[in-house]
Amino acid sequence: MAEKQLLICDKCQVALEISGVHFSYLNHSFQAQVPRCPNCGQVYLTEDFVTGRMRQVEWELEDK
Amino acid sequence: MDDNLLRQFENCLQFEPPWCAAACPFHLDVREFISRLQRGNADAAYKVFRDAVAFPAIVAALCPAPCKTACIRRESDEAIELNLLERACLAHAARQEPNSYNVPQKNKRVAVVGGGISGLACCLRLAAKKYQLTVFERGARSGGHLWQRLAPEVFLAEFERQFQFVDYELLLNKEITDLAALAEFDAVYVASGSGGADFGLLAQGNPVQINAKTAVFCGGSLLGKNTVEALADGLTAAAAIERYLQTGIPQPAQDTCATKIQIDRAKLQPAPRVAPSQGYLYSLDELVKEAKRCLRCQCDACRTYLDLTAYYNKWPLRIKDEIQATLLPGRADLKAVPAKRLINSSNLEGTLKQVCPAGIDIDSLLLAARHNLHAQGKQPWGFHHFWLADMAEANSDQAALARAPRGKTKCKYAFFPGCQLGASDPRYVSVTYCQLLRDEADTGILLCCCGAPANWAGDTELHEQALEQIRRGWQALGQPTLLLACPMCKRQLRQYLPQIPTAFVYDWLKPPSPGQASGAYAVFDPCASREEPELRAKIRELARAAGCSLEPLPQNEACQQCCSWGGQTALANPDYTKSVINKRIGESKLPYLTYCANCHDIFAAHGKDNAHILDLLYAIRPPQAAPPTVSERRANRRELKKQLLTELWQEAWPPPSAEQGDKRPLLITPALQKRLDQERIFEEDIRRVVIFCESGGRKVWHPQGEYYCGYCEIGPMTYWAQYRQSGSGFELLNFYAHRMKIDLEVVWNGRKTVADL
Ligand SMILES: [Zn+2]
Repeated sequence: MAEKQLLICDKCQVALEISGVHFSYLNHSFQAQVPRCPNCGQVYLTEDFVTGRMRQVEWELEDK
Repeated sequence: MDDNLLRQFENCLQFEPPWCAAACPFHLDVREFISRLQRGNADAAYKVFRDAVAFPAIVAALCPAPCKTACIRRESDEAIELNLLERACLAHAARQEPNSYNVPQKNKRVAVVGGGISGLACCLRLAAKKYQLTVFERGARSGGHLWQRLAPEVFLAEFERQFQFVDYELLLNKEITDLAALAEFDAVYVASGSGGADFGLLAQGNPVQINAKTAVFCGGSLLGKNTVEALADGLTAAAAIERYLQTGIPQPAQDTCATKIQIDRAKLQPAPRVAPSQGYLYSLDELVKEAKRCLRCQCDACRTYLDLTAYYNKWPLRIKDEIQATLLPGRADLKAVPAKRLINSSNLEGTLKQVCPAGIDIDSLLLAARHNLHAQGKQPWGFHHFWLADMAEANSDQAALARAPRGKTKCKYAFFPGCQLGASDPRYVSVTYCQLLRDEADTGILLCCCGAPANWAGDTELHEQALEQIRRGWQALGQPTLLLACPMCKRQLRQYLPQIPTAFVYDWLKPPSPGQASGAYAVFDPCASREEPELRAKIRELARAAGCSLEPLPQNEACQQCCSWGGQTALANPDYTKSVINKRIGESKLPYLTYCANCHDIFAAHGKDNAHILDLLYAIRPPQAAPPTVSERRANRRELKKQLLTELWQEAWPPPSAEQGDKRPLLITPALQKRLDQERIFEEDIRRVVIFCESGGRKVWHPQGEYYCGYCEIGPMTYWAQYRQSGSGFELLNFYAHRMKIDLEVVWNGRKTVADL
């Protein structure tokens, strides 16, 4: 996910950086590059990502 | 899983042949033949016909057409002219060349005694498969008694056409007098014609093994068959001989004229027989028209009525196979497992059991499959979590209640409205209960869920807990008769808590006075009213007494199908669910009258005006009222408990909360409220997200949009909120949700450290 816009972790007051984050569902895992706070780990997922690619993977895992 | 759930499919009639095909000496695949003719494709139809009969020109000319006597259309008008269709197919098919198969010669030798139509048919079929064939004909020409029945140019040309790519040996003037002469052959077909030699075999059986190697089969006019039957005999003998050559076991030729097929007689709409405008030959147009009269009979009640088979375009037998494959233990992703979503897309309301002539109960199999998947840990929780959360709420202290009338601890009756009626509108329950108390003072109330959501999710243990809650409440009230409002509750209680006596509340309500309601309605009987004819009559009686006129809803009356609620399919398969709703609400333009809270609110949510019977009796909501959102439903249940306890029992409710939670308000626009409802997300949960972000500072600032964004896990779900500060509270800008978990979430939010994991 190429997020050019600036996002700030409110707790740490630092800019989020694109980083590999793991997700899991129904005993399967899934990895994606998303903005994440380099200090505390807080992630940010956009609506497009959640309702697009992520939902598609959820659907596929449910069919497995 | 109960084996009977699978074994019942042995009675499925899907593959039973239609009556015509059963009567046909060739068991022609009439459905396929006609289907191709209906498309006007004579070439394609010709192939089906030729593959079944070997010599199409001879059969079309001579067949006495027993199919016509068998045709079900005779019950409504006249039989399909199958023989005329065969002739027309021949006349219109441009390509009639046989196939030439490039397969290697087989080293098995077969002798045919008799060069008549039966022997030649057997010879053609086996020689085309590259067996080595020798025909012994005692006369000077082949064709046997065809010479007396048909113009020679017809059958000689047909022989030439069909045999053109086939090698075989024809020995004329070669009479076989002793089978010992054929001992070197692997198999023999004796088709010596009417009055021909049987070598004493028929007295011994058919087939007869004459030595270690050779089996002899008999058939044709020798057995008293007519010309076309003799031809068919040659083909069935060829199949039996091939089986023998492959297995070494001689078995009789198989031929059965029996069929157990059943069809819906309603399909027999009269359609006049098409007469050929020229002699005996249909034009291509006439051919198509006559072919279209054919019903292509197949037992397909399941396809007509079952929403699941219609949506997936699959037959029940196929669905059964897919279920079996899906339930095989082991890692699911290593196998092709196509059916998890399908298993969770059924409304589980017993339609097939009602309409299937074999009484196959596919829904019990589907329900058992859900429990099996759940027990194996393979049931996707995302299919059912919303309803389980809803059930938990309905069964919690916030909404559940078991009370005898004020001043008593036990009662003779208790109103059991189910968890959805009060959620729809608290007055449905409170007003009705007050009416009940007026006529039968010894009536308590039991508010909780019937347990269906847990059952439908396949969670056996949770289902048992829900049943236990009902059981305990019922026992605490002195085992009263439960007065039910929803037929689905009745079905669940009858099946899982049969010891609890039940009745419908509608039998206890005073008949309305005329003029209380008005207007025309079509009665939509809920799926679970199928086994309740008295209830269906009672509802109509009440509605008419109130002053409504009722119109029939023929499809629904023929088979009470589900509004889409049953089996809770909306998360597993939203598209399927929508298709079911659209079918149900499309049946009539009139507003519906129903008596299940779920039918009522689902139809309303999809723009279908409809009244609950209690609306007609007590004017609670107008037919065009919008249904409550999921959040309002939750609030309605709490409100109901509050109303009942404060007004009827004069108790303060709810008790003052000890919680010192964050009370800052979250503003949600109506548009977002609507979307939350559509996505089955509680406003309360989104508020929890904002409070969580604010209290722990776990939020991201979006400088361009000037808003905060953060998430919170609630139950198995993860919810996101985009919001900004507004006055003393917050304003919601957007939300979204996912089922996938963010790994290390518990570490990042400080609940655990990596070492804990
Ligand atoms: Zn941070």
